[in-house]
Amino acid sequence: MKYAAIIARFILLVFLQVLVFNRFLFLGYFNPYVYILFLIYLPTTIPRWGTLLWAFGLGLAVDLFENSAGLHAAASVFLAYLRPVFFGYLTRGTEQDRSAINFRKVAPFALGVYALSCIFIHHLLLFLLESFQWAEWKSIFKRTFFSTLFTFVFVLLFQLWNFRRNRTIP
Amino acid sequence: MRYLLFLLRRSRIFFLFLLLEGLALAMIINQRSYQRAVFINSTQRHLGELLEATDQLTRYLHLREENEVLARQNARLQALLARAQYFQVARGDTTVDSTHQQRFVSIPARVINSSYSKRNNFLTLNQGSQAGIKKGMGVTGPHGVVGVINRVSPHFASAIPIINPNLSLTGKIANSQYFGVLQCAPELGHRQLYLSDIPRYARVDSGDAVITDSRSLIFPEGIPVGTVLDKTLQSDQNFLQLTLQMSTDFARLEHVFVIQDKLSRELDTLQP
Repeated sequence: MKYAAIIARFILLVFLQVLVFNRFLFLGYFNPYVYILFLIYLPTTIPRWGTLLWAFGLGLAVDLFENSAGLHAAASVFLAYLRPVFFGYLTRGTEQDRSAINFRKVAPFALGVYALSCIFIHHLLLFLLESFQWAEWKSIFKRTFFSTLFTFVFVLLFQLWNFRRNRTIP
Repeated sequence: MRYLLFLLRRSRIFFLFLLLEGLALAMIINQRSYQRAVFINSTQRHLGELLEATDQLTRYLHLREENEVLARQNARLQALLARAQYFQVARGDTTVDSTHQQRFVSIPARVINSSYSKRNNFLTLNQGSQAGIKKGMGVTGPHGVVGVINRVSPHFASAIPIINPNLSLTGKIANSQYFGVLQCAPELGHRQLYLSDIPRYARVDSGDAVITDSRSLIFPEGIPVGTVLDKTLQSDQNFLQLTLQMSTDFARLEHVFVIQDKLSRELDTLQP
């Protein structure tokens, strides 16, 4: 049952990314990569090797449509590997076990900081690999900065929606 | 012992991470070094069909503008036709075999998937080898030059647009014939281009038209590229670098023509 929900979310986010968000452009230039919501909110009860494989599959699925073999896969696997580093934001001040974090019960601010860190790491690697040239660092950082903000707006909207849903159905 | 096992367990995750990351990097490098269908790409049939279906949804939004553009292009083509007829009448003393006059043939196609905001941009077209498209043919739009075909499948083709840094074409200034290299750059965005290696003594004013050059062996001469916005001296002090406003807007490109040069093989035998 748990895996059915995860697979449904996987397919939904890949299709949303490919069919909707790839056509969204901020200032005609910056793309949001909302599909990594899947990795940000992937349950922590899944073993780490499972997380890495999910990330690889997710990135590859997006690459398939973007003509960018391996680019999103590399960035997603990187995010999945580094994700536990940011769990500290979520468990700070509580006695919670890091391997069983319930994203719905975390304070909104901590969740925001956690999501922002994840998005930034993912986007930075994505644009670094896309350009492959350190000489273009100005453009890389500009893209990373604006795309991170842009993705974050959508993540916040999702959190808001999730937060309200939790309050109405206790 | 327990600590050792713990370490091994930890590094097992790390090795999986390295393996997946290595696999992804191998794909990136593979795609970068050979621009052909080694791995996955959107010219594959089912993906192409899906993209075409979604494109049909968005196409209606631009229908009106697109019609206007096509009408304008028709007008331009009619003008050309009239001139050609006049040309034949004026030289009534020679017989012109019209079957051998046609050098460039254009194959109409539609853009079904495109990117213009990334570093390495691509286009996918809804016609492929069954329509006569081959690798290396030029692509033009209603406003001017678009790019070059790089991969072809029976029903679809993908093209590298001129806003991809892997593609460089020659362009020339229409009124003075000086030619140079057209290159995009990330800092320019998708509406501007550089035209570099123009001799320093060339007289260039902003607003001058830049057109394709027959030296590139891909396009007929005279297809619009853009207009000059600005000029700066290159670091070698001998050549000018011009910034162009591109005539093609890649953000709303829809109908394109793939240009087939019937004499390309003959030209290749002369210019190795």
